[in-house]
Amino acid sequence: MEEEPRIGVYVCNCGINIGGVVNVDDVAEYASKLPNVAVARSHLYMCSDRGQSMIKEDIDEFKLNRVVVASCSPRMHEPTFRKVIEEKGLNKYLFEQANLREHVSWVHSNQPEKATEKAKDLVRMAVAKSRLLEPLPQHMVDVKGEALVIGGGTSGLSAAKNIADRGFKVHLVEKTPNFGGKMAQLYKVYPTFDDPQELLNPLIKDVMEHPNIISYLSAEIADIEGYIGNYRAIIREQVEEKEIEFGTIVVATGYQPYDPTGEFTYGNHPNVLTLLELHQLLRDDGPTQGNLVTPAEGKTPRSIAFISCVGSRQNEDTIPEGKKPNKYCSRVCCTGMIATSMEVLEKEPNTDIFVLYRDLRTHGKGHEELFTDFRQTGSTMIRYTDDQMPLVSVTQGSEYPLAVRSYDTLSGMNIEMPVDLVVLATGMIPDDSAAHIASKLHITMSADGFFQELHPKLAPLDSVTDGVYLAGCTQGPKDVPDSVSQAFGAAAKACSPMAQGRVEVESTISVINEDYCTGCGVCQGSCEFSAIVFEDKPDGKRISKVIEALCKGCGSCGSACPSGAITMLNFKDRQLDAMVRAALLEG
Amino acid sequence: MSEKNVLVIGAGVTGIQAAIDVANQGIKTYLVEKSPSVGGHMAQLDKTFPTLDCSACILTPKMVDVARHPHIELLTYSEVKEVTGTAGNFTAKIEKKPRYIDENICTGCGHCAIHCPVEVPSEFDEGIGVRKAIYVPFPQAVPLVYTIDKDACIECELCQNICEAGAVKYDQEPEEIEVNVGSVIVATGYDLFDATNLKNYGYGVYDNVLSSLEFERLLSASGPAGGHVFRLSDGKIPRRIAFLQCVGSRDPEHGMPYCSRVCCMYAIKNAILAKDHIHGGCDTTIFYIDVRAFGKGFDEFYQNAQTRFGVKFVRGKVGEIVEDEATKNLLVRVENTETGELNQEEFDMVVLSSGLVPSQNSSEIGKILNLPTDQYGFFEEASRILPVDTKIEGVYMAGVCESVKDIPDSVGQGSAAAMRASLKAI
Repeated sequence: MEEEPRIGVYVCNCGINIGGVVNVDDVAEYASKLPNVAVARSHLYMCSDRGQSMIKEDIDEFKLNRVVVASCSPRMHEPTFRKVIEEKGLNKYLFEQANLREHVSWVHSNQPEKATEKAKDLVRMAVAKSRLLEPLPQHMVDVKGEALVIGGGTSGLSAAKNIADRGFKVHLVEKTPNFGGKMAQLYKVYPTFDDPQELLNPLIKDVMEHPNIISYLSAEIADIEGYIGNYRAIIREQVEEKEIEFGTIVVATGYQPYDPTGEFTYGNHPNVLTLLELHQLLRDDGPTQGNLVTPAEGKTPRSIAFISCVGSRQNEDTIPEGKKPNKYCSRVCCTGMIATSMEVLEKEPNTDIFVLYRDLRTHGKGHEELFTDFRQTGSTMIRYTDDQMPLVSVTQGSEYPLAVRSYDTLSGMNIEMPVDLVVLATGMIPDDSAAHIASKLHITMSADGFFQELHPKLAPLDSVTDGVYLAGCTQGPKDVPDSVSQAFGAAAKACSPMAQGRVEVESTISVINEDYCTGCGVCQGSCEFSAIVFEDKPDGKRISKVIEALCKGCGSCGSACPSGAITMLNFKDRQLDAMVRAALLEG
Repeated sequence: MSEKNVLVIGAGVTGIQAAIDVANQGIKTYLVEKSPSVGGHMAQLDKTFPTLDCSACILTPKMVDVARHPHIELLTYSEVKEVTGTAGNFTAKIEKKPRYIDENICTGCGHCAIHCPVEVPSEFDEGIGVRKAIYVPFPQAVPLVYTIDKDACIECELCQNICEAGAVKYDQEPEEIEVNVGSVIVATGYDLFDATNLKNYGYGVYDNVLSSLEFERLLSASGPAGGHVFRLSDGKIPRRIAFLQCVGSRDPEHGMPYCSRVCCMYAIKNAILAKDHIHGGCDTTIFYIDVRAFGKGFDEFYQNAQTRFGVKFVRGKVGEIVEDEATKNLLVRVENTETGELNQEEFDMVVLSSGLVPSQNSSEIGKILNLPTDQYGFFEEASRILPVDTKIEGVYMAGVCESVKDIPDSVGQGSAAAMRASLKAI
């Protein structure tokens, strides 16, 4: 027989976040008189140790079998309070949270009395639902001890090696014929002026020879599906296809350089280069064997203008028509630009250098010191603004093939520079393959087109999909050490569920009543997470089935189902009905 | 469960993340924090850039997780005194300092602090507010156990008499704990640059010149002012606030040549929040050299600060602040490098965007572990592609003790160090 609900209600002040507006004691007093409420209290911070132990003590003393906390959004602290009641032996789904902060005090800060009334309404509704909450089974899924790493650049290599060293098998998939990614194309890495090959070659060798790593070069992911612990992919290597299974995924698809065609005469004159192209001219194994010469004339450049923020921090009013502005900063170009200009001076000390910049962002370890050194070189710095972009033109009958004209905010003058070379410090954009991976794995992208991390501050390596982690520039522009740090971190994230062997997945998911389901498939079309598939029953009936580990409990299928065959656990009609009734009838 | 263990030193957000990511792999982890609570500097912040998330709200779940994790042994108010051995087999001696409170008995009810007659400046509130001699640093402290500050305690015994649980133990002695670990993660964080070193700004002399952390506490709803920004000289609401960038950063003349990486963004955030918190409006001006808004969503935030919130930006490093003795207002003298003009502007309050320096604790731990540092005291990395490996095998680092960085980069490094450290503990 079902036990009579005995509910504890806890109203949080959240410092003064809630208590400064809502009369919290009044709300607790009100709650204590609601049916089935055994005890109601308030506290300064319910999430504090003291708040939590208060709930635990009351569970013992008042024999509580349901708990309602009226505090902040459940997004942050629902897991906290679920664990609290779980530790006292209650099923964690017998917890309900009312949001008195985001939904009350923060939005009605000028109406404290009405806010207190609304807080009572929300608490009454939460209690009404709490009475009808049901314990839900806890779902565990097994995690296969193999990982897939997508991308064989510095980040992907670093992640793969660490996961493999940890003892798990790794499938490392790279779309080009070589490992090393964009870093391998650089002349030097800054601010230390290390040779990228010297850093990368031992890492690539380790990866190639690692007994736990299976490498796939010139390969692409033809298909990928599954959920944490149990993913499956088809890898296409030239003509061969191979199916693999694995438990976790590190996405390290990196970046590609912004294409500046149509800007600053790039594409119209061979002496307008990108920074990455200039690196090729400096490399011993480059097209000129490391001789720095202008592409058009084959002569040593007498003067070079570097222009920053090409493809970064763009202003929609001043970029060429038809292009979508990249509003973000690409984070590495400022240091890359000044360091490369110092390399040029190392090779050709008589070259005149002009650096056109907006804000000089040398923010990394040792980068500002490099900038200080750069200022000793006697190079000219010109500070432009995005509403008056520098103008590059091809000259006629001049001694120099190109001319750069720019307003300098520091001198207040328009400056014209005759130059042999123009070098564009182009920003980073997400790799071509990102959109395909995103749609297959249901990971979201932020407005800038890079993958969205689960939380911008505290979960920078997790994607929104369980078991899928982000490393390096796939999540946003960053330099080599920052990318490697992320790669190691993403590797740790991927190792955790594999080391545990089994993980718990959320139980507030949708379930399908087989008797009502007609197999129309409408629910499948409504599911953002591909969590619903068809299942053929022995009696020949085809019905929909929910893959529990993929379901996020969003409820789309439930509202789409024309037969009313889909129920959302702990968001059942009768539970929501009770809340609506509490809101409208008893108020 | 593996046989070897990992030691994490420092329980700010970086150390917390590192400990969780090691322990989640089934490896026993000792997390040592010298102060009475975990949380570090992040717990002091009001909101975080660029999303304006409430800092304590997003941090407390992690603080709770770390205390409750079955594979983490949390040692707060404890200091690592000695580490011997090599990678795979280190022995660490940890001193658990006396709280003069039995941690197992204290319920955190707080009656003792209500009755304690001694008030001292609160470290957590950067000295703006007060705490008692028996105290928790902040209400969400983990563990929520009181500590007696023996330097301030007058031994009146009121707390001992009032404590129903009988948790007060005046005769508690330091306790030494020895642990054996396969690897060590150092996450000893930062101290704020001490702006009293810059005589021209009058910090510590003029009442209305604040450090950025002091301003964070003024903004914080749980701070000493309940989130109401006021002037320390007269309690008046400031209507004109200046934020000065590169205080102790990009300043080779004062021995601080490096960029502190977070100050541009926190100043922009605080300028927006000041406008939000001060009813009736407030003008905010940021004096800068370059605005370094380089992270994800940062430049967009900077654009919004100008267009949506009306934060004013003036390019120029402030030369001098002079206080008007009668009004306690502040005259800010600066060369505007865009116009070339020498300007003098009056403000009600000035907030110094002080840079980050290696913590005092980093220098002590660095000596114990023989970690090489750069000229400033940040730990050196093994190579560009081993950014969290120190030069000592089996010892890893994360967060600002390696170099200045913001919260997500620190958290990412915490996870990275967890990966590296776990390899020596399996």
